Amino acid sequence: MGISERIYSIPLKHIRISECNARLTDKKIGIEELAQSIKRHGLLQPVTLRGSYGNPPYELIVGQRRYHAHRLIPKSTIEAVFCGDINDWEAKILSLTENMHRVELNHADKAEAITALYLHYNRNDRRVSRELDIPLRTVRDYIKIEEQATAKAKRLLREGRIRKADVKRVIDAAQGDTNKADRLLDKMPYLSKYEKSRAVRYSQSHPKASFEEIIEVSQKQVIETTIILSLPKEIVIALNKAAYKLSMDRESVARKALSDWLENKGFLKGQI
Amino acid sequence: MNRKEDQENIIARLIANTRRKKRPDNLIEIARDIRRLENNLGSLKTVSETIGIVPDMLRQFLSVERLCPEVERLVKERKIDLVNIVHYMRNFEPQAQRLIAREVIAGRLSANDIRVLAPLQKSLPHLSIDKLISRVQKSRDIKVYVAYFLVPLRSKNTGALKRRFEKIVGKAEIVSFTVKGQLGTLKLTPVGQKKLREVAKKHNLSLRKFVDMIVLK
Repeated sequence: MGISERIYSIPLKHIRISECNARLTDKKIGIEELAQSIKRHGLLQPVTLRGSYGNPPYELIVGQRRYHAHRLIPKSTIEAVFCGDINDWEAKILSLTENMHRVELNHADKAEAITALYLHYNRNDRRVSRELDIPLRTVRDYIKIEEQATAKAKRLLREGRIRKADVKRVIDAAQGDTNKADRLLDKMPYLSKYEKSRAVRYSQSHPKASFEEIIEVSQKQVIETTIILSLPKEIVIALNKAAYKLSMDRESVARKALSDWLENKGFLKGQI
Repeated sequence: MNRKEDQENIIARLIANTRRKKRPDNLIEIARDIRRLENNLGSLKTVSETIGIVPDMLRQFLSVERLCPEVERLVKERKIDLVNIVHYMRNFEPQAQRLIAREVIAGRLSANDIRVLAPLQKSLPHLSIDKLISRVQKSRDIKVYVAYFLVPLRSKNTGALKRRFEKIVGKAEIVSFTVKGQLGTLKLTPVGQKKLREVAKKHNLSLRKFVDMIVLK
């Protein structure tokens, strides 16, 4: 099974997908993103066709998603190499091998690559997001973990034993204390989301709190009180208007207005 | 009715059901319409473009297809009618779905709680679903609704006043009821607050004014 070294530009209309192609499901997942990437950077790897150049139609053995992305752009040709006249089994093996070996990059690899690019672009995360076509928030998450997570957190992530969201919570809760961070890593997956939020909130307002204290507080239920008020019609209308304009719910607007007034009058110290 | 008219009806129904707060149809019927339109148009993406709803939202509506028959019946009866609740329930085993449904109908489990349940079950696989549910219920913040009111000078029987509120919202939904001097404080659970609000609405009054009306009755 020798693959030709020469790359040819083949019209898409001369290509049909081989029944030997290993990718049977998820054929079109992420095709739009792939098409965007091809538009921006070009095709990085040619597709593989059965047979030899000059005898269309050609059978597509490897690169089904790249082929669909080209059709979506739309492009009329695609770069391809030829694997010669192989039989169906050989074609199946070739397709399978390519898909089996091209495993998804794990979290650590992605984080390392994204952070390297971020440093290369003088810490410009927006540029990284633009170049890689991934959301800015995702880029920031990877950088945060790469730069601030402990070695243990990175190992657990690599092994799939902790979620990215929990590592971020631990970073926020530990406030730079690596010992505390490593202990929180062991506990975090067993807390409910409500407890996790309380652990982070408490740690941020009490940076010197010990691990035991954080866990104890996180497991205590908080009573959230809503006072039922009677408001004049004009205030209700104004509240609705503010909620609409600021894209907030009425309760949040009322809370903000009340806390601002209390702070201005000196009854409340610090933000809530 | 020809195919075109039928398709137009489905589109109109789907728009009415996905854009309004008060949906005319239950979630089972909506999912069925989405599937029929998908069959007619060829893909979920085309359905999404036709009715102007993102594919992820359509998939949430289709989550009803993954419910066990008993829970499906509750959805049909509109005892469970929130799309995000159904969406978060879809990955649980049938027995867990039944338990979650029971708690949802009783007002003891919210969509957010069900969302919290799934990762917790993954971390604590040895715990039974009812223990996990109780763990989530005990870990969430407690929401209390407070109404302050002035007790008229002539009124001395605060016990009778408390019973008036109990009659409307149920004893279990009153967290506390106190009267100090002329100032009364009524603390309600979220379910109690909802019940009181519903009755107030029937009287065409705001919740606050309805409390005053009960006090002054």
